Amino acid sequence: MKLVLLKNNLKSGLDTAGRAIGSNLNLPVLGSVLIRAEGSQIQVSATNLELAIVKNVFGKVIEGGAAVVPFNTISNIVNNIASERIHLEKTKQGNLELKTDNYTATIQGIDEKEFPIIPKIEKKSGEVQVGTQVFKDSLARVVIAGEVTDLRPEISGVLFKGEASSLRLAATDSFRLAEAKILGNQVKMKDRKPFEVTVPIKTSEELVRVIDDEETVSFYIENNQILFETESTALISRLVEGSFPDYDPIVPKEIDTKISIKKEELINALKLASSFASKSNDVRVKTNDKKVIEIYSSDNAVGENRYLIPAKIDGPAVESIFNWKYLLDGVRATVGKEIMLGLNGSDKPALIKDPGDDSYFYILMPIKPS
Amino acid sequence: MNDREELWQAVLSDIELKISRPNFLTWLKNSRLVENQDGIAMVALPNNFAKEWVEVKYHKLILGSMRDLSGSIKKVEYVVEGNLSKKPLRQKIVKRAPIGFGDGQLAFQEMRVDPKTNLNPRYTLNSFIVGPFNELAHSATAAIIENVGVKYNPLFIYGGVGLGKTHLIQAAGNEIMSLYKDAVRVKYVTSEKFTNDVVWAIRNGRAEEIKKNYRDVDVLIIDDIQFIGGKEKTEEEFFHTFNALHENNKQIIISSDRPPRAIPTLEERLRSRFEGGMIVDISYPEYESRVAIIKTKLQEHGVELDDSSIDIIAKRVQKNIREIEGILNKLLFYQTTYKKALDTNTVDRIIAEATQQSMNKVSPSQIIKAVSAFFEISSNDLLGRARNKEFVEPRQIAMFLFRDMLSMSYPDIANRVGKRDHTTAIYAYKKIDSGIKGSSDLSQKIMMIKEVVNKTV
Repeated sequence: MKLVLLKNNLKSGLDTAGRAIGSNLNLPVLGSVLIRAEGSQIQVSATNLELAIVKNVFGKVIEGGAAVVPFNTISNIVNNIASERIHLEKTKQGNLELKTDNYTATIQGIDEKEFPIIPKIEKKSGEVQVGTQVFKDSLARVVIAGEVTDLRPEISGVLFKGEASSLRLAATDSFRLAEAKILGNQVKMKDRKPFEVTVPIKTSEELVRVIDDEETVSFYIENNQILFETESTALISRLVEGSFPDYDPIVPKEIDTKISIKKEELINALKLASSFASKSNDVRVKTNDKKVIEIYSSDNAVGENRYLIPAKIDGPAVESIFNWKYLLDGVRATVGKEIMLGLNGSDKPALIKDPGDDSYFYILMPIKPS
Repeated sequence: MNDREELWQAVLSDIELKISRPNFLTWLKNSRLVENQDGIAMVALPNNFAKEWVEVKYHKLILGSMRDLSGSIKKVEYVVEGNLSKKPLRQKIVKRAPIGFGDGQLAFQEMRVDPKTNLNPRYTLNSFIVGPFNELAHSATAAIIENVGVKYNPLFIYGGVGLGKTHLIQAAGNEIMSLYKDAVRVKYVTSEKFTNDVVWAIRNGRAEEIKKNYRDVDVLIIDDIQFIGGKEKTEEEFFHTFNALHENNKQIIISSDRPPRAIPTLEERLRSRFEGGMIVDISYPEYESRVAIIKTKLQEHGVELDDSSIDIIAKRVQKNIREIEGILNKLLFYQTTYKKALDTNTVDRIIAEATQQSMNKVSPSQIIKAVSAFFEISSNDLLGRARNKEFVEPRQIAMFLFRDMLSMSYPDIANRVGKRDHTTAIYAYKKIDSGIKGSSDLSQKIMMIKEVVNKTV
């Protein structure tokens, strides 16, 4: 194998594929990247056996072939050298020689036959095409409510629920739940039956990072795996076993007290309150008459604080305690300047959403007053 | 092990010799032969990566080895079976765990507890830490999971507060559910819930509801049975339920904080029935188990603590796993708030604070009251100088408790108990202390007295 690449191209390939690198003591080859050149195409891939990422990079292929080298070493070199052009060549001993104008390195290679074979998806069961930006945004707003847990594997992922022309994403850690809907012309189902699958949290987080701003991303589901594809990047992952719980019953149908409030102010109040919150991260949200809500927190060791925010309050007076982190996550995930905070007493879920945006909501259980 | 499993084991041991160990562990460890019919063998692998790899790299090896061992095989096919690997491959992803666990954060109940069985899926046998202190209870539970309703019926598990009874019996239920799926109906209730149901049924004249709800199950798990003692109607209803289930070989699992004979208000006929099955106790975890528990808890919450702190906690908190959890909470909170590692002094202080809270409130007179009430002797006799046998043991227990619960000095103790010499107090403490380790009868007594003391606070 013999290649000439621009540093930035190689770097972007390594950065992207590197997201799938895991540590596996049994199989050191999983800490490596595979660089393969075929025809005029160069691919950088890595996997941790749960998730594999393949990135196409631009470069000149002088001679095809493949090399496997430790990710940390090559990534370190590429991050630190100054030259623009990099020559890569595989030696007869199977090592990789990396050269610039004033630098050479020989990296100990691993036999490419040792590198895991990345499973193929045959794309027989149809394709779902989504607008990249809206998909990334929605996923990022939902994944915050998820949690990686071995205790309840069925919720340690993001639900992807596809129907005729809508894609619904949802995640929960059983304390809070977020749902985003992608509608209309942003979703195209091509020969695809309705589906309901759970994509691991880690995969979802990496998706948000890895997919670059191309117009659409397509995905294919088959044999308990899912493949996400854009022009330059492919990400393939296992799916979570077991079915995501039916969360419809926990979404509050009616709201007792509706509070509309400026998002920025609430974020400020919560940030301030956080420095006084006690170990359970609790802050109290209380309505004062019909125009003001009070955010209060106190800790024996630190002190107390109280923040008043003008608001429009519709419904009976209410007082609830929340984990400020959870509350802040939800508030931040809404898009508009105003948010609607719907409270239902001290032991039922609260609802957070942007009043002008029906595509997203976040619900959150309060903390029991002690 | 059936023929198929045996064949696969033989194939694996053959292949293990031919490929490198890491490769074997990564690709073949969690494999299974799911079918072997008409010369076609179906091998299940835990994920698609393993399937691709094995298909491409080891197919010849497997086919060859299978043909050697069983001539009839013509073809080997591969499938993915997701839940083959019990432990997920991913283990060390940083958890975004809330710092305080066990705080008042409410969860979506509907999602956590299975409404049909009332079981909380959080409790699994895998996360139950086994040590000498609970080995017996654990293996008895494992035995009934395999032989539901036949082996030990009822299984009666008792032990002090915060030692994992609820965890164990719920895990048994969960395990049975996952093993037998829908073929077995499991129901978990606390005795309080059972009592409430009985009361509700009587008030509304719907006694048959109880029968329907509780007799139509294959496994009935009752938590904290001691609370039904003295509630006659509930006891009677439970008695009939128990009989109905037992006669039909339905498994009954019961937990309590003390053995049946030590539940004072329990009716004789129930007691004898409980004693007819298997009674196992969970005692206090010893040092090594405590360390293991702390380490597991830390791992569960994705945080770290240095070994010396772990050592201090394990040494200082001996009798309640829940208390260990509480202290860990505090330490971790401290660590995250002040953003610095804990030194041993701080750890000491925090533990002292935490353990003191429960002690401060106990006074010597409460101990005296509880001991004399328990043995039905007057407090004058207890503290007097008479050396009758019936007073000596209670007196030693009282001295032990002074030391154990209040950390009083030996001279002070001796002085309170009939102006004796402090060596008497030392002797009494040592005698009871070693007695607890030897006789479960004595430790049972001590536990019950302590409970009375703590309740009167």
